[in-house]
Amino acid sequence: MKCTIILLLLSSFYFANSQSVADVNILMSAAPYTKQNVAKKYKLEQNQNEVQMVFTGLFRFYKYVISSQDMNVCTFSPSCSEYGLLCIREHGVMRGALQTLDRMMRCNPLSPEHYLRDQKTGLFIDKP
Amino acid sequence: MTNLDLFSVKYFLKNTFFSSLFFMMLFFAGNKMHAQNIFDNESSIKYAYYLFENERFENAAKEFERLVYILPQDDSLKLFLVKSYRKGKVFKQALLRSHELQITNNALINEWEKEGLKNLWQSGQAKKTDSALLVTKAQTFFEKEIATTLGLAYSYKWKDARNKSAENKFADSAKTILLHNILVQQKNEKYKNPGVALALSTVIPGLGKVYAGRWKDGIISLLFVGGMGIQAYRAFDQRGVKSTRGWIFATMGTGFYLGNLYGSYHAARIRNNKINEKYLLQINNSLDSLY
Repeated sequence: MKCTIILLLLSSFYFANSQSVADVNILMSAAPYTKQNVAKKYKLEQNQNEVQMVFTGLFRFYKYVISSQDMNVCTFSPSCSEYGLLCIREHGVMRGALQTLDRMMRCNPLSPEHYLRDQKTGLFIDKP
Repeated sequence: MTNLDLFSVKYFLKNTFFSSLFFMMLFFAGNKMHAQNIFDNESSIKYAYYLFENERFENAAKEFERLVYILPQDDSLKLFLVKSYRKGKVFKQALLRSHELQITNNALINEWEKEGLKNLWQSGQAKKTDSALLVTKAQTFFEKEIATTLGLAYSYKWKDARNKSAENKFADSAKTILLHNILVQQKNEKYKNPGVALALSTVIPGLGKVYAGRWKDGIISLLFVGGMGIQAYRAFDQRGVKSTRGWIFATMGTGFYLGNLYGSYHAARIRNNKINEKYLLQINNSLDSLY
């Protein structure tokens, strides 16, 4: 047991040492499609009303805080959260919500025959 | 005289034959250089048509824009400018330029009017075809009939287009039979009614998507809605109406159910649009030979 704990501690030092802020910055500059960069595209000033502003805020919070801790798992481009925001901006809350829920059910790689592929990201293209 | 002297400049200039040959070469080289002005109008026109023939429409349009500015009296350049924009799929610019530019050459008016109509069709403004046809001058009756048929096809009125093409089927064999064949093929396509898809999904979630040809999406929809429904039922069954978990699952399940209804309706419409686009692509590909 003691050995395991010591090994874990040692390995944690190894990982902590390997990841400096500079490394993260290099990775961020190398990947233009990071979630933070996507979130930066949608600014609060772009909104036309308060509802859009609230949903943009929620989207940015989700992208920065929750989604950024995860891998890029959405099969579509734009991603489901981005699609939801675009739908709400374009069609309003009711229709936008329906479109987003439908999209979440379609978010799987089982039907590649129905979509075109994005050449840059390799994801299926599905715009609102 | 040594070998070295033979190649010296002094010997070269003293020798009448070599020096005269040298000056002759200089003279011709100068003449040749003078002739190679690749930016004059003639070369530019050649280059623009070369780009157009090689289907480099974006570059051809730029070249024709330059030429139309330099030679505003040449109508064929204007025609090819608009053609380049249309074939390069820049329909907005093609329509704009065809409104701005005027044609005076009578021999080209027919082609110019046809180009205007093709721009309307391909830019998705097929409904304006009828009013545009009333203004046209140079076209024959038969050409107007084909234009009307194409206008109907581009506005997805397939049945009307088919009837119209059947009327004129034997007037011009090559063109009309090609168009008529495309329209007859379209008749055999099975369209899906979005209303039926919606109704089916109301009864069983996902069934509308199966009807619209997306059976995998249909199964996923059923799993999502069914799973949420079962979870909500279990929670309400165990703890009654006050169950928080039950309400969360019930709300999410209802949301996914409504989303599934929207998705089924939309899937049927997308399928129908894809069929329409398939036939429009066939017509687009043979548009220049049809009309």
